[in-house]
Amino acid sequence: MNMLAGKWWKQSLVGSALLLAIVLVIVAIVALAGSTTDMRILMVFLINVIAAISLQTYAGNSGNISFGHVGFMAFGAYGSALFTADPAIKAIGIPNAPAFIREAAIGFLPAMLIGTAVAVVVAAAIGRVFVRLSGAAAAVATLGFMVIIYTLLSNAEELTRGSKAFSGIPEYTTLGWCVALLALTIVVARLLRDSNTGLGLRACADDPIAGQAAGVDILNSRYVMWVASAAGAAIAGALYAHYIGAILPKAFHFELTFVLVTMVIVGGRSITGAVAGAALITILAEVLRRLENGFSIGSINLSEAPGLTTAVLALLIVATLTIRPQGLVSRWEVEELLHRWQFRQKEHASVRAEENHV
Amino acid sequence: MKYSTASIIKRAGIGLAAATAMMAWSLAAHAEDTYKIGWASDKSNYLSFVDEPLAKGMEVAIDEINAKGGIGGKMKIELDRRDMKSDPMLGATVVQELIAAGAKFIVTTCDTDVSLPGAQMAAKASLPVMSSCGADAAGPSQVPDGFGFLNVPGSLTQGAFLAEYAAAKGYKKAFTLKSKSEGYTHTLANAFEERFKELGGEIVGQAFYTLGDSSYRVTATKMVDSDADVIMSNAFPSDSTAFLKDMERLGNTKPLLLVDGNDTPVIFDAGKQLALSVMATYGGDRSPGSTFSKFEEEYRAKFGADPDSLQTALGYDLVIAVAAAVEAAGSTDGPAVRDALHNLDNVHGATGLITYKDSPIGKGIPKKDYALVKFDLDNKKFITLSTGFPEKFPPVK
Amino acid sequence: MQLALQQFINALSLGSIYALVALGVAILFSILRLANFAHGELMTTAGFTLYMTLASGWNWVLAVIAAIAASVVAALILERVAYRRLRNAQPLTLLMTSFAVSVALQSIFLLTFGARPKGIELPAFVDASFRIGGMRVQWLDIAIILITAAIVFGLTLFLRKTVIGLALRSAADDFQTTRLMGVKANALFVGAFVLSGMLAGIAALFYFATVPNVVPSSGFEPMLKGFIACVIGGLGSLPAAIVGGFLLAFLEVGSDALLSDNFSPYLDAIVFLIAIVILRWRPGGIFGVRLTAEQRV
Repeated sequence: MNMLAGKWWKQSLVGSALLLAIVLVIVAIVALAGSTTDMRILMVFLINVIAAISLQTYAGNSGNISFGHVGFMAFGAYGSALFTADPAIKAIGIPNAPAFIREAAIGFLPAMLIGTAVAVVVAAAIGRVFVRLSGAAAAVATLGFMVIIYTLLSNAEELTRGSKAFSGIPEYTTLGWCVALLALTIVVARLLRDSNTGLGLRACADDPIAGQAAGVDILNSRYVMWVASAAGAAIAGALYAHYIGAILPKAFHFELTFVLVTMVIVGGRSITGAVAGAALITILAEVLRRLENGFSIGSINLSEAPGLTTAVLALLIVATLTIRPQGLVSRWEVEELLHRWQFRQKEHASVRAEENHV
Repeated sequence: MKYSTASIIKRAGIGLAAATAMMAWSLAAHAEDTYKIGWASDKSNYLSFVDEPLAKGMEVAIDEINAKGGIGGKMKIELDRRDMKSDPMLGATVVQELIAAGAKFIVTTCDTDVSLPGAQMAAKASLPVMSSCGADAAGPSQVPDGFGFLNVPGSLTQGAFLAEYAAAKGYKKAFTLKSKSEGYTHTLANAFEERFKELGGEIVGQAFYTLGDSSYRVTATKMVDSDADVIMSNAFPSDSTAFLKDMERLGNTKPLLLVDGNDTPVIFDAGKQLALSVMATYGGDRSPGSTFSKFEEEYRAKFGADPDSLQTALGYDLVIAVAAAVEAAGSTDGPAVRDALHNLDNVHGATGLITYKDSPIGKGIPKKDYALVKFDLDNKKFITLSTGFPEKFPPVK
Repeated sequence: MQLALQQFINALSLGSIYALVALGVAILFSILRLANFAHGELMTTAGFTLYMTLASGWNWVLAVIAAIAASVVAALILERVAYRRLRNAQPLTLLMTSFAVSVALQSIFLLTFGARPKGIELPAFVDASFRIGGMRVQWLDIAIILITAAIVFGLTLFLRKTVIGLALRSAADDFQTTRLMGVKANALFVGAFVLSGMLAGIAALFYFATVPNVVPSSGFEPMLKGFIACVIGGLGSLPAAIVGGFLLAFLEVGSDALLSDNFSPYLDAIVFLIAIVILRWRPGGIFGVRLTAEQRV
């Protein structure tokens, strides 16, 4: 306990380090023992974790869901892709794009920053509308934002080839980039969450009247989280684009949205929850997929039953939510979980000691 | 008899080594006399309705070839089909998995854009890769080193083919229906428009839909009210059936031009408007004795039913083309098969002669004749009116 | 003029379907605070029931009854299996559960019926129409509009004049107090789900009468439209859902009919944009509370 006394941000940093350590253990295990396919799944997992943590920064703190964050991922992906792709390929693919895009061939980091900046500007410009909403209205409005971005991208033939794949994106995304950016995302997300803004906002999510009575500016706090989470989503989008090498608007649509939202809701309302949810969903989906590809029960071959794995995955999610409606880790962060566990151990020990004494 | 712990571990170790060696040996032997086609296919998402019949057609071709001892009489074909759920990221992962599992030829799903990351993955491993029925003519050029192929002549030629037909029929004003949701659903209509205008026609209206739309009432009302003398629709089921139903309800009497995606019995749910429609598709020669009728017989023998869609024949053709290329290459080596496939000339497929050599459309895109069919509503059959290939078509963009 | 009138009928007919879907969504939301994403799959259940019964030669009246019954039964199963345990969960958890249920049901439909569209063999009278001047009017449209009006009227009577209706309405206001008055919570849940299932079934009949095929994902689009209608009308109020349904239909048809071809590909975006602008102006929907709960203080 002493370790955590003092400034609030110390606990955030310790928690971030712990969470990152857990992820690094997973990375190490897969890197040492996994196949090339396992490595790919790991990379996609890391990218999804960054996106899920970003979404959680808004959803977990405000108690509001967003179905629109893949729109910000798309900004990050296309923003970064447009400025890094080989000019020779762009000359064929998007001959009518502005010259500063067509001829650009800048590095990964500046391109990612451009994509993120675009997402942040858009998020800041429209954020006021969305932070005023809650519940189902927020869900529908943010879904609408996602559909609007998707429609604009599908029609932007001159700039992004529209609904067709935009290819020739350099494959910059390495394990190192993923881990480094994940570390950054975790730290920033934890600092935001534990800051006064985050704390006040979480209090309001539980009891809006008490929270506002205590002086929390709920709309401004949400707005800060909204813009920050858009930046994180854009970073995940850039990593996605530079990993897959070819992107299309359909990749940033309903399916990815629901994957990310499910990860966040199944995990719980903390940053640790986003990581736990992403890990659970990734592992379940991957195990089921592999069963489908090479497994048969008697004469029934699972690969002959398309949709079965998706159905099982969805039912497992329903089961998880029914058994633990508050999510895997509820509202707790990793170090809090650890303390709760230690505390319970001590309690048990003291009870036992008392029993022995009697 | 007693074992010490050490000896148990040692024996187990030797056993394991022997088992591994045997497995490696059997794999090697296996690899020598089989040619594995790996297919990152959609089994459970929106493209599965085309990949399912394709799979059946591929099985027919594989059975036919393997019954004769395999490619060149000695190398059996094996199909490894895995689900990629129409997700581009999972598609690339599945392709990587298939390569690791020993696939020598990669097939991707029926959309060149969704399957591009997977195709690029295959090219990186120097393996030829073909989209099962994706039609974007720009697809192969995006796959490095000429490893990318299409299984159909592409949407540009089909659009031009329909435009030339419309012009020949004397139509002057066309109204088109398209969607920006996919490349296929608007590049074909755009090619139609371009060629139609070139031939002196006029486009009097364009309507857009979103994939999965159910109501076409507004569009249909506009079309019926317009002065167009022909309607060209780039939609496929279930969008196209809903569209045609709405056209019927609004009393449309204008002729309609439909695209190959409708070559499935599902289209007959659209009802009466089909009497006004013609459709571009493949496999003109469906007469007795043709490769198509031979394929139909084999299909019936295997599945006990008529092929339920033209996609089955396209699946059959894919395997036939790949087998011909491997035989010509005399090797299973990726670049060798790629080069042989690029030189394939007049191979008999179920949908006509397949030629990749000196393709006028673009490298890796086969030249095949289109067929123009009308609909026999009572017997739910397609009747071929004519076959051909457009004289001119828009360049690949 | 004639064209405008034709589009007006189009909008009215489309609006009736949206209003029915929105009503089904709104009933569960107002009473149970459940935003049920699986509402679309209740419609798909009715659609596949129609397909199976009509394909095996049932009389259309029986098929219609079977379809509505199937969707009610599906709603009851959902209530029992997925939602009853979640009564006290966060609205967000409920929303995600309903979404997962929706995905699971779609996959089960895919397993059972395959991905190919299934044609529903509708009786010929569905396509019958008559002419007024140069305009073509469908009997189906007239039927959809009249039956929707009758259902809205009947539902209002039911909610106002019967004891169950009273209990449901009071539960929408204050669930806990209603229970204290001796109404069993489970009865309320079952009642709300039966009503919602019935409305989904009827909406499905109209929907599949205009779209001749059913696929596993058929229910998604109408469900989404129903939700948008509910939200712009004002979630939690039944009249608002109806108005929202018609408003959405008129928005869609209006923008599609009036905008030039250049804007036509952006239709989805335009409709959502208008919906968001409405929410910007009134976060609780047009007939909803002026401000969200947090800001009412």
